[in-house]
Amino acid sequence: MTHWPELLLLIYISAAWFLRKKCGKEIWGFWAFATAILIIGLEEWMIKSNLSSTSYQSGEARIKLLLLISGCAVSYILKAKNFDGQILTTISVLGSLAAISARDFWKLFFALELAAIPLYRELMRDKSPQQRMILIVLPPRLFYALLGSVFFMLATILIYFSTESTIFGEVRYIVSFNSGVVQEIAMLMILFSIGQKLGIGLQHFTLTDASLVKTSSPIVLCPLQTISAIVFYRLTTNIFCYIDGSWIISTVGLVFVLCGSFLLISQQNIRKIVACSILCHMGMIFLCSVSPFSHDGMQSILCIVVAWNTVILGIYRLQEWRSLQNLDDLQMASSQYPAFTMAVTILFLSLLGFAPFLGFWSRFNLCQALLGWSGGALTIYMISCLFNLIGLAKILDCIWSSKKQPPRNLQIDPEFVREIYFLALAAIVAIPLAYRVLNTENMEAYFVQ
Amino acid sequence: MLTNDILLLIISIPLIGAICISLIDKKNFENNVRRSSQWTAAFTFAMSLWLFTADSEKSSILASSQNSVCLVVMTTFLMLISVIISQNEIKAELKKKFYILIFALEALFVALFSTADILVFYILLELIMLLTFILLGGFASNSIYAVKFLIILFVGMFFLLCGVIYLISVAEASEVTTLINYAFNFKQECIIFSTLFIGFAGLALQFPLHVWLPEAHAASPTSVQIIISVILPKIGAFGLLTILLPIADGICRSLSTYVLWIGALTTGYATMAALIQKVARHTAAYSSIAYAGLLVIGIFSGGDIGRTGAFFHMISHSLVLTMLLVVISIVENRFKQLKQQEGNISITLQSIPYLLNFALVPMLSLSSIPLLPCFVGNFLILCGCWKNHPSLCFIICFLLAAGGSHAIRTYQRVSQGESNLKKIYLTKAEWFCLASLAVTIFALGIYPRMLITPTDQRIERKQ
Repeated sequence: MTHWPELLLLIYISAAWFLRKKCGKEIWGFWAFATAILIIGLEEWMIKSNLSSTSYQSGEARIKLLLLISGCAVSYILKAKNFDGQILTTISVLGSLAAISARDFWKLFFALELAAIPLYRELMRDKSPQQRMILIVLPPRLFYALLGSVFFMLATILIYFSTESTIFGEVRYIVSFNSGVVQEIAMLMILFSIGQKLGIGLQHFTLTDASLVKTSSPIVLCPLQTISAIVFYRLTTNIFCYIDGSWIISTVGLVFVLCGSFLLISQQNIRKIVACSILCHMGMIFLCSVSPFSHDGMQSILCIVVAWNTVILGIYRLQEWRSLQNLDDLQMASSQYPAFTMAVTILFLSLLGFAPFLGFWSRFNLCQALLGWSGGALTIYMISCLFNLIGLAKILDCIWSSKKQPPRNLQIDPEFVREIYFLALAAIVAIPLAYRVLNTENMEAYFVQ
Repeated sequence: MLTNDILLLIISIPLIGAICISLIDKKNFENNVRRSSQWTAAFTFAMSLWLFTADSEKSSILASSQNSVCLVVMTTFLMLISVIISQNEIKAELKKKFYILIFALEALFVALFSTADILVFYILLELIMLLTFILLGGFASNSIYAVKFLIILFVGMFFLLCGVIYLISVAEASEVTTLINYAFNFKQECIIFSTLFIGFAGLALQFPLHVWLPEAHAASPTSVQIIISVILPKIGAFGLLTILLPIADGICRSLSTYVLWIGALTTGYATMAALIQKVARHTAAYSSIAYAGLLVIGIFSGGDIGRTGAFFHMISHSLVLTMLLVVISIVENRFKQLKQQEGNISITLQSIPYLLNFALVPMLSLSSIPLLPCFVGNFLILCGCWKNHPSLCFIICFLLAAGGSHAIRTYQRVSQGESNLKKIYLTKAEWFCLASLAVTIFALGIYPRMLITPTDQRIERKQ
């Protein structure tokens, strides 16, 4: 397997670090990621044209591509204003790329920790003018960040002492014949840990207040969330399917889906809406993972992570622009900038899973998986869809209703508008992406080993 | 030119029109919006007429049947009427938004009626729901009706989505023709029927999923009324007729009695509710629900005659109801102009020359008078129903007679007396709408084979 993209990103990090004072801080990260994407594309083309004998494991190149595209978008959004953020994103992507090819619990642990470095870095950096807020914001975030890592480490030690191995294939073999309580607990701890990394965005959108702490971590950690979803799915379908804990995951998934969509109804703040939606999507990923219909679940997860990343990037930019905190602000924007508001609406529609945007395909594939698996789960998911619908009705009414107060004059940065257009376009263009680039038919070899 | 190309043109013209309208600047804004919207709608209608006369044998991918072509022509015609009649109803500052939504919806309606893929059908339907929701929320007097609309219809849409997913996963195909030819077993047909029927019945305004319509209808401008009470229910009926019935034929025959009684309940409830309404718009809404029930009775009556009648009704009742809505809209408009008190509708109506004559056409048609299209549709549905369900026929006859007599009585009441108010003549646009609708209604009543023949051909081809 080739590691040219990883090497390129490492060179970029080193060069950026040493030359940051001598050269300009333009969008270096963007170009590094773009080159890495080109390299993967070139390699794939060479393999298809029989010019190269090197080959990725089936499906792995596509996941790499997904992570690199995610990193590319994050770097572009951050730009020169947040040069450190660009470097942190690259580190996170590097860790995520390492997690893709990890076949050992220890390697996976270190790869995920590398991907989570931006999280720890953000914990130490606070640009708030009110220093006392650190005392309020830092403890819960630190506790939340460390809890998952400690759990993962303990669980790996438990697995090592109970099975005398940490390699996936060997652990799977042992567990498939004889799974004890210790192993079951260890594996549930690992799942909890990865679930915690999956929900890091939730932490940023609920525990922190944008007006107090300005941080770029919600988008810097997008690659970590993507890889967490993929790893969660891989471990559940390959190893944890042999232990009797799938009912716990499915119950937690259903509770998350139901709670996330129910809480969404009453939210007015855009950040809170995204937080509830993240909770809902985490539940969806849990459900996809325990569903026995691997192909549909896999496709659903990939659609979820792409839709998720698109929306988080968009909301981050909205949040940066201080005027847009609540839905009412968007209503004011709709009369002055209808095309811009339409683009934001598309992001919301995609987030809540409405056709024909990307989120719809995750809903579609999840329904397909649940339909053949469990009627009860499907019913609960349908109820959550109804809650989502009520939330959507409120959002659309709030944004597009013309009977609210007269608009006040809003000045929107043209660059910001361009970026939102780009993201909305991504939510639309991602439809063929979901069916062609992310087509998972030949990816089962990677996911289900 | 192939039928496919014409269909693509019909879909793209409204979209181009919407883009052009969005680019209109503030200089001479109202006039430019009016002209571009009317020309777009007229050109789309002209293209759909071309499609109607084109050789249908050349059709392959988009147009699934001749039924679709008839519905496409009906939609473009009704949209033309909506665009013309809405010029005085919508505030100038909201016109741009309104026409963009209307033309986007027109393109989606045409695409939906002509698609041959069930997944694309669902996606287009969901988009239509969202745009209609925005239209209702933005232009109805209270946005709560839009929320009710979205929630009630999307409950049905979830079932529809499950049905679509189930169909695709079982048959491993999403083309309607493949699904029709696939041999589903009884259990599979049960699942397909229960999911698709709830989805389409919600759209087709069947009891009790109709509750959102009357109030939303009364609170909306005429063009939105035409969309929500004329075109949307036809999508539900179209789904039942061309998707559910051919795919799950066996279970549809087994459960037809229950479905017929749901249709009868819808018709009966809506007719009785229409009799006690005092607001004309509410009466029109309940008339729409009553005829939606009748459509379901025709579709599930078990024979080709009933289905042909149902399809004929889908077109004819749409035209009749639209004409009634246009008349009501003109009267309300004049009522506001003359600053009349409540209860003086008849005086207002008489102050508009010729309007009373035009109002007679939908009233007589709703009363099932021969030589008018509703008679033909009702007759065919009753004929289809008679063989297997004679008792139901008697009930429907009674309900139709009650509804018809009420329509005649209402007309008699508003046409009595004399008006001392100054005469306000119909405008050219209003003349055009009323005259074109009246001519089409009479043409369909006198020569119903215009629509019945293609439907027969469809049935023959299938056999």
